[in-house]
Amino acid sequence: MQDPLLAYTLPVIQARSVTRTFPGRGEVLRGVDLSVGEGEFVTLVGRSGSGKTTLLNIIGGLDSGYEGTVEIDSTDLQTLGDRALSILRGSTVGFVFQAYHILDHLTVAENAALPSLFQPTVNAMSRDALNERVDQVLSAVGMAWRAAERPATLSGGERQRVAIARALLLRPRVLLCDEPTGNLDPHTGHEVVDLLRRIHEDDGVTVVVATHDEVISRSADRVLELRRGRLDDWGGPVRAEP
Amino acid sequence: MTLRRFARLVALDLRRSRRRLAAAGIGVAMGVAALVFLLGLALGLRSTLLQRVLPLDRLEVAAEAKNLDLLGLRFGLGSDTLDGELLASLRAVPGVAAVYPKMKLTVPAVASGGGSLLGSAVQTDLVADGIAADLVSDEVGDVFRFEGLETGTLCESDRQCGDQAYCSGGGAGGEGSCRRYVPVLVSPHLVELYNGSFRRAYRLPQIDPEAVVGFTFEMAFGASTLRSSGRRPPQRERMRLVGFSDRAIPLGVTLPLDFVRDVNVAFGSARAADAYHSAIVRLDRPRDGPAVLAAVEEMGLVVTDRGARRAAQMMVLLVAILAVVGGAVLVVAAVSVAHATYITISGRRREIAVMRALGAGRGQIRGLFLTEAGLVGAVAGALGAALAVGAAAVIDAMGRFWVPDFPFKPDSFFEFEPWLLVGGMILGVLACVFGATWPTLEATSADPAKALSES
Repeated sequence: MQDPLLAYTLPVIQARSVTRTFPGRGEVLRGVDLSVGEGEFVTLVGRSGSGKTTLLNIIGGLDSGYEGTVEIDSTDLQTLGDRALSILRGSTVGFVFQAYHILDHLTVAENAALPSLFQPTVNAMSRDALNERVDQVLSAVGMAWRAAERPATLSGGERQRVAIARALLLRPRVLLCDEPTGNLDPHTGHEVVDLLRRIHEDDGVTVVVATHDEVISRSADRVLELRRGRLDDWGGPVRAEP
Repeated sequence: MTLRRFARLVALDLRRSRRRLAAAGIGVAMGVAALVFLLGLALGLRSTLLQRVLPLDRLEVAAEAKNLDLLGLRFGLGSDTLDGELLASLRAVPGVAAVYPKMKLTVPAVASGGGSLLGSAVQTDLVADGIAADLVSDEVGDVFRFEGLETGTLCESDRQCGDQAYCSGGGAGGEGSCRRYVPVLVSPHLVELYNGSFRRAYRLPQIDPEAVVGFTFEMAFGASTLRSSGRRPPQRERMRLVGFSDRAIPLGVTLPLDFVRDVNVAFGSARAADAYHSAIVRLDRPRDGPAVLAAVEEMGLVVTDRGARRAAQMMVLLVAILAVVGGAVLVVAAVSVAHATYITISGRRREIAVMRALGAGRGQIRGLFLTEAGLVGAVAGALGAALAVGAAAVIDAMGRFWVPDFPFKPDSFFEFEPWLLVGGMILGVLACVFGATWPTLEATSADPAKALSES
């Protein structure tokens, strides 16, 4: 079993002794150490309630109620104020959720462009440049042809593609995916996995996927398993124990 | 986020939420409408009462009459008039802006004429007051200004003398001189009294106040239909109605002060020239009233309209009560908006969490929601103010057609000052922003992970 702190490339995510306690649930994470190198494709497996989503939320700066330290790109998240943390979330991290979380009142293109509204780095970008980038990411996920449509007309797989396009808009260094195929049928799920894999290979994005899906696990560079709040590193793409 | 992108996000959100926001905004619009309507009504009534009926910035001051009641008769003891010296003392009282003396006509007078207007000539005794033209210049302009009776122009007919004068002693080949009409003011109350009661009793036609301006008639000063005239022959003058004023005496005619003074002197003594029966004291500010009142009483004078002043002060209280009622309606509307906003924002916790996950800071989300609330409030406030003005116009129109004329009936029962309309809009904005603040703060203070896990 590989020491999780010994990533074989430069660590872009580094977590040390992360403990998270929820009232009524006790310690969900117990002193988790994690290191993910630049350009890695890592899967996080474990039973329901094992803390996969909690760990992703902490890494992504969505949950600040933990003990220990988490660094993204050598920046300790606990030292950042709300604005700085928001900028880091928008510029460095991309999220893909199981429930897609795309906004029904916006079109596909508007959903994909949503992160640009909040980032000061995008302010200098011209409207044409932004539109071009939106078209680029929608094309990358095969959804450019439905750019003007509302999410209500899309299938689950298509919604997840839009969510992936949205996550990629600002060229994040890290893509955090929480059960991205959890709401999809196996065939569509495989397509989404292929898409994530392609993005990883083409753009060199570091991808961390929390999943139950063995297909995704098999395609990962490294598989990490959360068991009773602790993290085991299974090394290369192996089947996680049930 | 640039302003353009922020505006884009707000626009998208408003478009999506237009029904929900309209429902929330209607509450505020109704609250603002109620407040603006009630305050407009209160200010309108206040203006009518204080400027026309019971002017709070004016006091009528007279000498305190000392009387002796004997066998059912009242005998005056001493003088009950004000002289020039007293008027000068009044002008020197701090808080007094101007003093306008009033003089009663102290000789009997008979008016006659009206054949062209009423169908047959009538003759009646009339009482008259003399006032300075400055007192009514804000109401009728300069038409009441008296420049003396003689023009110095010779004539043979009225046409040679213009509108303001007639040819006295001319006609039938004789040469006369142009003599000015004496300008006359009448209280609107008198016309209403005539149209309401007098004309019915004497079967005379109704008269239109607008149409009778310019009407001329004759007055004989020193004559009376009630008792025999004095030794001096009456002074006959032609009079011309130049307008209506709330400051004219309610029963009788109001004439230029200089003319009344001349008549009183001609039929009385030289002392009559400096014997004023009361004076209107105009205050710098209504709030100076109590101090001026005290100074007036210290000078041994009395204020003749104390009851009116009390009524005016009650009116101020009424305005305050209506403002409180309107404010209470607005507060209820604001609480209603707060509740609606709370429910709405609570339902958008997931959306807020998604935006936070995509890089939105708490401040940006708060700015977004509070801007939306402010825009809804501005629209609701404008709508509320427009509703109030519209409702007032409808009520005024109904009043014109269905409410019979009564003394001092105003053209409008409402007064919508610009500050009231702008204030209504600002209150709408504040009500919505206030309503949205707490739920927005609560929704954005939690970690996004919590809201995402709940969805």
